[in-house]
Amino acid sequence: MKIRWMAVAVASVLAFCLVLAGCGSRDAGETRSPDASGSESKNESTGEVIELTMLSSWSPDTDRGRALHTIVDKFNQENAGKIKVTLDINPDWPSLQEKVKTMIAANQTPDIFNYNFNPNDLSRQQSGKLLDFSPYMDDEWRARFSEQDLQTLTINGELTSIPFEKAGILFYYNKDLFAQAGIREFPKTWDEFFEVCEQLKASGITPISLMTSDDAWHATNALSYFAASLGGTGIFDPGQPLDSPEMVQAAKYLKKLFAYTTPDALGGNYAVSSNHFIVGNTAMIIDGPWLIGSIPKDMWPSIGIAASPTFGDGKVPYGFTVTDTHTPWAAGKQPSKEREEAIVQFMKYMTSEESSKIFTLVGNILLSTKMELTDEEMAQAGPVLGQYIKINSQSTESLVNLVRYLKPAASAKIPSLIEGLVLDEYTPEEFAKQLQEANQ
Amino acid sequence: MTRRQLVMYLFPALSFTAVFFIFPIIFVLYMGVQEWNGLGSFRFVGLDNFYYLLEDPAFRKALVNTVYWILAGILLHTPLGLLLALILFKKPKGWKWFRTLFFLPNVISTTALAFLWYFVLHVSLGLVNNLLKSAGLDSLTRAWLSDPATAVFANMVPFVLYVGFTMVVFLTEMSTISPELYEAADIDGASDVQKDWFITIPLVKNAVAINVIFNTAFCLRMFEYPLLMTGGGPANSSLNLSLYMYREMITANRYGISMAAGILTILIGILAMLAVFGLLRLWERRA
Amino acid sequence: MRGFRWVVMILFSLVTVVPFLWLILASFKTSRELFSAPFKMPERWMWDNYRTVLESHPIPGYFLNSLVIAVLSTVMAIAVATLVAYAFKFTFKFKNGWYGLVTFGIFVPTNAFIVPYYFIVNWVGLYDSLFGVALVYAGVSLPLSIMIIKSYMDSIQKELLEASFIDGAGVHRTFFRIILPLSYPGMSTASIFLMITAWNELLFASLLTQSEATRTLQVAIRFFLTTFSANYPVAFAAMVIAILPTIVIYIFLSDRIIGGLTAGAVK
Repeated sequence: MKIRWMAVAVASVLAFCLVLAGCGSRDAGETRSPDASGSESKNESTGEVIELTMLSSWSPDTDRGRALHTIVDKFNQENAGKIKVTLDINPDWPSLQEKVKTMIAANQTPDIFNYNFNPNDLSRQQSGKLLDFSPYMDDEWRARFSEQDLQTLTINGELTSIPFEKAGILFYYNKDLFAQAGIREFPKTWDEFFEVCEQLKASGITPISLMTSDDAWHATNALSYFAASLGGTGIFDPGQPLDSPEMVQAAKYLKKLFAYTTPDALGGNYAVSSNHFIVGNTAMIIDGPWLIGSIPKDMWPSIGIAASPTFGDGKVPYGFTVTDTHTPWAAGKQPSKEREEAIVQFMKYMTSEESSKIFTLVGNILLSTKMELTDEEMAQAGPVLGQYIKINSQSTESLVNLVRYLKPAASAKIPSLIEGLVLDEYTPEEFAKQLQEANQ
Repeated sequence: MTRRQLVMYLFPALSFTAVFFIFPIIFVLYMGVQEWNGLGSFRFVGLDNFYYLLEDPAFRKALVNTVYWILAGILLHTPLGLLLALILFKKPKGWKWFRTLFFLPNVISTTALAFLWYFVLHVSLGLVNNLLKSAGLDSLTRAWLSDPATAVFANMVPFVLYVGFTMVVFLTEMSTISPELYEAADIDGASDVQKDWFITIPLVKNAVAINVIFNTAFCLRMFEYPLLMTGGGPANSSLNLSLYMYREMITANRYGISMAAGILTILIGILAMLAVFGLLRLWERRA
Repeated sequence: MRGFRWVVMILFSLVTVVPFLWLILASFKTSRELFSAPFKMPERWMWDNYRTVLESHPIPGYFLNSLVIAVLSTVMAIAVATLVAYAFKFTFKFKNGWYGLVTFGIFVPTNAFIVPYYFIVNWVGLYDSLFGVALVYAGVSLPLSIMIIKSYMDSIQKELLEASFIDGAGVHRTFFRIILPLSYPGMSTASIFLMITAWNELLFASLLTQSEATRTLQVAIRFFLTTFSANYPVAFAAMVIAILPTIVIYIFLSDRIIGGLTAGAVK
């Protein structure tokens, strides 16, 4: 009897789970775009809502996530009954990128997604599975962007990405901690910079936040700044070797910098590194505008933004910046013209001046779309974002962070190379040489 | 049983095996000699991938570390599980609670445990270092997770300490031992340790076998702890085969190399298992 | 001797409990407190952290997903394993060969198969579905299940089978009426192995799912420490919420769970 009862219980649990599994799986019908050729779309022209899925890492517990959700909700409201955009959030950026690549490979290209543009890794564009926006790029839409950005993103005559985010990376510093160590202003040359580090250290303050895990973001920012200061902003141009004497010198400086950071920087990830700065454990950090969202409001008056030091030898103009790469939006090829047009409409909405202002002011994102901020709006931005926008807009020359240019094999290797450099397993020469080799 | 009936009962298992083992092995063998970035086309490269692996210091370290993990499973984790089982078998006061407690970590996600121990072993915020400091043992503090000498071993700590599952398997087997054997030993005046050594341990051979096999398989696959505690670093010092494969495929987009590493992992897995079986058989013969 | 035993037990208990206590404590702090004074009591007990988590993450949903996958995969694997184990009670040509074929998978590190599994799941159209993940788990754990169940079934005497045949029951009826009930201990042992493995699994769960609707608890926990939202205490609160139901269910069922393992042995 007991066994009978157990069997019934098991059977009902099983049935329950099967039902849930059925509900749990994504409905492959409307929202996926399978093989673009020949498959019918469930959403024909009359009356049915076109559903688009947008993949992003901007989760609603971040400023940029909130901004994105606001824009998407507004769009959905204005287009109720015709187009509905659903956000699919995968908060871990590196794994979202992996996921998107695998989806493209499996003919499941997402409707809308963003990614880090890398001129040395055009696998997405060359897959043939992305929507070409050029036929839809009318003069009005064109005017929203700079010609240079559009050129950069046009591969093989196809404009498969819409320029969106292009963040300058600047030096954040804690004015209170600086004052504590008796430092009056942010150093303009690298010699002064290292002196400042010594002063901070002598006052018991850890000078700078660094990290080597994941993509070693803060460390590669520093490396890029050193390299450009030594070799000019063309140092990472295609064809330039990564084992040049300037790169070796840059590696030496990077190693030197690690003497001024927290003990958990080696092996630390972005959360650890940024938390140290936000909490006041370190005095400086080199990062993009999104960090502002994590800084508590009561700390804003203490935060200063500065441009990078240089060697003062004229190699690079003061005020030059390292930037993140383009983070554009791309779309998968769609089975029907209606869906294509829906996507274009949505993208136009996302890149409108109004939306751009919301993204910038609410989301702390720096965009490549053109935008005029009135004084009022600038004031709304708050002291930190205001400083950031100001210094970024004054940028004299710029180059993209090295990591965004590396082939996947090299970017997979660079964290361990940096760690090896810091641990004395590689000399700076070996570091540069291995990086160059991995990038072949 | 007729042929037809036989096929009916065998069929589901055979199809699962074909889909989840036979096909993938063929796939991996085929892909191991190609070059592929996941989105483009394949390119046959023969044994190049294997040459690359053998020359890559990161792969060699991953190999060595995987062996370390397996040894930790066999020489540390399993004996500790046995120790706890021997203790709880004597049913001290509240033993049921202890049993429940020790099994608990196995039920909780390894992911959460990995994060937890990341913090416990953290160089400045962690429990371990802070405890050492407050005990005046400053000199013993280390950057457990970011020192290449200790990183891989630091990863193993939660695996070695949380032996609840192993312990329960032992306890299960122990409960099948006839109590008369112990009574006879009592009459002979055997001490507890003697009873453990001469009666209990030899009679739990099956459990030892199960645990060693299960833990070896587990260590070959070990993914969460190295990934979340050290990311394979610093400088690849705590990589293992599983993480190496994952990184080559997902981050570096070199599927061919990842699959070649997969083939080598399988071979090592088979070797490890054969070694384990061989040793177990030896032990059985000696007793 | 006695003392030694207690020392060991207490040590292991501390090692098990203290990290969790610290986790719970840390989940009530602010990020600032965590990074400056990780062991002090929080100034204010930040229930806000818990609220943030519950508002922005569908934890019950993740929990349910993990549960569904665990149950489905276990049931499938056990069913298939039991069928096969029954077949092995009879003699037939190359029996050992077939047995080796279906169990050699135990030795194979299946993480070498991430790419082929990914393709299979996609090809059948089960990407990003709970059923797809469950299927893969079932396939991967099948060899171990077969080994466990067969070893329990071996202890069922052949005479019982023969008696049943003599009584006129066919092969199928014998299976359902006689063999199956006697194999429950073995089946429950294997089930526990499988459910726990499926519950804790991270690699395939993150590879084979994409959307939030199919996210499992483990994948969600990994993402709690998102790279941008660098708020560890909130992440800890999420972890506590995620782990708590497991602990509660476990404590209530621990007797049955571990009893199931034990009952299997005492035949």
